[in-house]
Amino acid sequence: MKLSEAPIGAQVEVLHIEESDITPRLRGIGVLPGIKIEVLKSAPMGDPRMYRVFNKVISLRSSEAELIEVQTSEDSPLPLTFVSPGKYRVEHIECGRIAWMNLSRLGIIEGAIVQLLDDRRVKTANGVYDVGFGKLRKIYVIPCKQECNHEIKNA
Amino acid sequence: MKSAAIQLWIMLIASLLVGTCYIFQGDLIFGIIILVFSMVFLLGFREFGKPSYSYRIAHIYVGSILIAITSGYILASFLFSLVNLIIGEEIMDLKISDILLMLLGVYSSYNIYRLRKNAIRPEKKDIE
Amino acid sequence: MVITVGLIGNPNVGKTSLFNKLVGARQYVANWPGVTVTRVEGATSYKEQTLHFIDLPGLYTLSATSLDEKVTRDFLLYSPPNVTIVVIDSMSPEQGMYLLLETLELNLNVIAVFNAIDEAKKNSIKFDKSSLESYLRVPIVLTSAHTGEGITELMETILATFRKPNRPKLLDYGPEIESKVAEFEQYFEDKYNKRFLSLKLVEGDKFAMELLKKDVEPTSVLPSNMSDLAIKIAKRRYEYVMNVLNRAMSKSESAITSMEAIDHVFTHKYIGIPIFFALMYLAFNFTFKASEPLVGLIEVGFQKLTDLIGSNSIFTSLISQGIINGVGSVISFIPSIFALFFALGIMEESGYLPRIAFLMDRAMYSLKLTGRSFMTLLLGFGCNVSSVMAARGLTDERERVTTILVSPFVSCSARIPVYLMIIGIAFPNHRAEAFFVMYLLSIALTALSARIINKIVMKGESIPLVMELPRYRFPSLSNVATYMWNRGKHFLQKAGTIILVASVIVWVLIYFPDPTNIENSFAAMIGKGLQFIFAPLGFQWQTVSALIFGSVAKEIIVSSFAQFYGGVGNIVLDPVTASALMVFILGYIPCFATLAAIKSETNSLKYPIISVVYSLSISYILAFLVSIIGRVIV
Repeated sequence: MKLSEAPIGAQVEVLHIEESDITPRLRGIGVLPGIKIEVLKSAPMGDPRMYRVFNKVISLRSSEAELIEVQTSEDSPLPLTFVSPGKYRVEHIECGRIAWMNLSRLGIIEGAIVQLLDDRRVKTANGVYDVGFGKLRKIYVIPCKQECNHEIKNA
Repeated sequence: MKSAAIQLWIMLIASLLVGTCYIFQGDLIFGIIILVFSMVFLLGFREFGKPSYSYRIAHIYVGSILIAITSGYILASFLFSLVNLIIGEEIMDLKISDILLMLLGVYSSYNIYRLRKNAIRPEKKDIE
Repeated sequence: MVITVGLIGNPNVGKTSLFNKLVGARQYVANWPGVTVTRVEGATSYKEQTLHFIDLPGLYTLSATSLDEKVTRDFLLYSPPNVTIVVIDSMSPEQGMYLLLETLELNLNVIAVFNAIDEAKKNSIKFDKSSLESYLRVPIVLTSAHTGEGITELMETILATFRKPNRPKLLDYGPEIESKVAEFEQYFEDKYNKRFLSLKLVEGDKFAMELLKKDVEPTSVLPSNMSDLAIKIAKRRYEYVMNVLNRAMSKSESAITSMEAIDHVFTHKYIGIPIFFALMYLAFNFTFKASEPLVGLIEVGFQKLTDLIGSNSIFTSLISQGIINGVGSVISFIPSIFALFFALGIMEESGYLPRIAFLMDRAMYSLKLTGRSFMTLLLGFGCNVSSVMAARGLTDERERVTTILVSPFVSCSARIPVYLMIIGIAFPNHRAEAFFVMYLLSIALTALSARIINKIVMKGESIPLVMELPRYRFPSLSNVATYMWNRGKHFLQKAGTIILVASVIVWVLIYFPDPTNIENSFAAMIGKGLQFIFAPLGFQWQTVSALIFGSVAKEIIVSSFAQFYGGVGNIVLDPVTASALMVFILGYIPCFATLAAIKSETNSLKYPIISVVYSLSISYILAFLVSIIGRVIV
């Protein structure tokens, strides 16, 4: 994944930096392979974005952040739109009361196990649902470990 | 301590009141500015992140700072206008909305002080 | 005995604040990176020794890319100071310590200063000084330029290090890199610091390649896995830094700091920009409301003085009309200017302005400029000369020239009295609004010009940007006052020199050949002779003459107007002509000082000429549009 694509709030680890004019400066600031970067927030229209390296806040345009190859840290929650199909545990849901109620009716609540199918539908304990992109983005999940690796029971 | 949502409501309604008060008095742009600041409180309700309440507190905190700045500005221009006494012109007369804004400014300063003490520092998190 | 002391460090760690504290100077400081773009020197004496301090532009790494970074690197390389102070930010020491390790490669006599220790204490970050000293093997001083803590200790340490130099070699980069470095050392002349240069060569530094011996071809000696090695070097340094900090620094995690809270709202996706405009409007309104009574007071005073002297003889006329009326009309706006800079100073000092650069970056991107050049242009609100100079900090040559060329469109403090005078006459009931609109227009014209210049004069790509956002600080009154004074004093100096001289000249042109009727004066002849050019804009001859005199410095427009009409109060202007006039003045020609600065910074006559031609034509067109539209509406 490129740094410019990492979701806001995520903790990522730098894998590789493509060589360019600003690489020496990035190295000086501490953007190096193996270093953790936190994605803080984006300006209006999504570009540029703020990142935290060590304790320093820097602003990078997407065109520069694209040069930085990163991977997300394992235990940092990601929105459902960002993950590949598989089983996940819902960590938290970023929305107001009404949307939360709607989602909970589908069986998507904090701590529940959901499965993202190949066609981007969501399988929960209550059934299989087509959840809109906007809602999907608000559901933060972490990948399931062995302990929750049993089949999701259909109600 | 009152919950963050209630504080947001109090500040939102109070600042909306002051803002409309200015608009009805004909001070259109100044009224709009207060309304912009009250939007800070409104958008506080849209914070859902994991520590949602701490972001709500951020909105209360910064909104209060902005209101305090605005009322400080009214106070400062009133004080400066006292110089007019020397050259014999009239000093600025305070209208109802000015006084309301200054009262809100006092409450905001109290808010800032209290939040700095209790909520922004890491030790205490018992705001809700 | 003179001891030279160089101050280096990352941008915005407070080198200049420290410098000011050390030598008691009042250099301009601000809470954003890249304020110092040239070296600034100052001396003080301590215990019968003269300490000569040199404040250098900030940088992250000695692999310099922009002009100001090169200043620092060349200084360290070619004229190494007796003692080098590396200033490190206590709040995020990692990057500063990286620079420290790089500096140590230069074999210098180094002291590491952890600045802003008061802020660190507030955020419960603690340093173990003795273990830092033992790991870094350089003297460590914890200071705060804000409270003055540790300054005397620093002075002592400078003397001690000067007497007993220590130049530790700290890092071993492992056999792979060390062998390369040893191999490369033969390619450099003996007069240079070989180890440093060969290390830089391994890092792929272009500057090091230039310094290779004449017969060495860079491409033939450099290894193919260069970028891997460069990363390995940087990683080794950071690992070392992290290790040291793990042992010597303790900090506690906090839930949400007040900085995060403030930042969250000020750079909010939706509300961030409206808040900015609201605050700017308040700043302008403050300028008026707060300064109005004082301006009135000064005006009344000057009026009384003029009446007292009278203007019967040639001598009294010179004093009362030429000097008091001419210069006084400009001086009476000083409270407004200081009030505006007070408000802007608070914004800048608190660290708010770089956030605007962040919010506005998208717009700057479409103009092919960076947030950094936005910050540079903001300096122009004080004086265009300073923003032309500050453009040195921009890495990209094309961006630098564009920034220089558009700088004159930023409404500088010299234009404030002109606007204030015209607005006071034509828009007495909507002054703050009209003033605010002028500033918005100034920004829009700057943006438009950047776009045009990028399209026509310089064709180029957009530039990469890495911008650091400083921490918020509570603006201290003394800093804001320094800021206000630094920017406003320029105005006072001009009032005493160029405006005084110009006022006298204008007086001569009015008084001769016929003192009784101004319509027959030389000034009127000049104005009437050229009036046909400005006829479409509806300008009177007085306006035309004032504009011609004002091309030297904009304030002279005010002083000329005051003399033509015998006082600011007697001037008549209808709103449409007034608007056209203000729009014309906004851009019409950069003042002489700015033109000189443009010439010296670009080192060619081409750009000043482009600037004059372009600004005259664009402001004429705009003023013409304004007067047409104005006549249609009114």
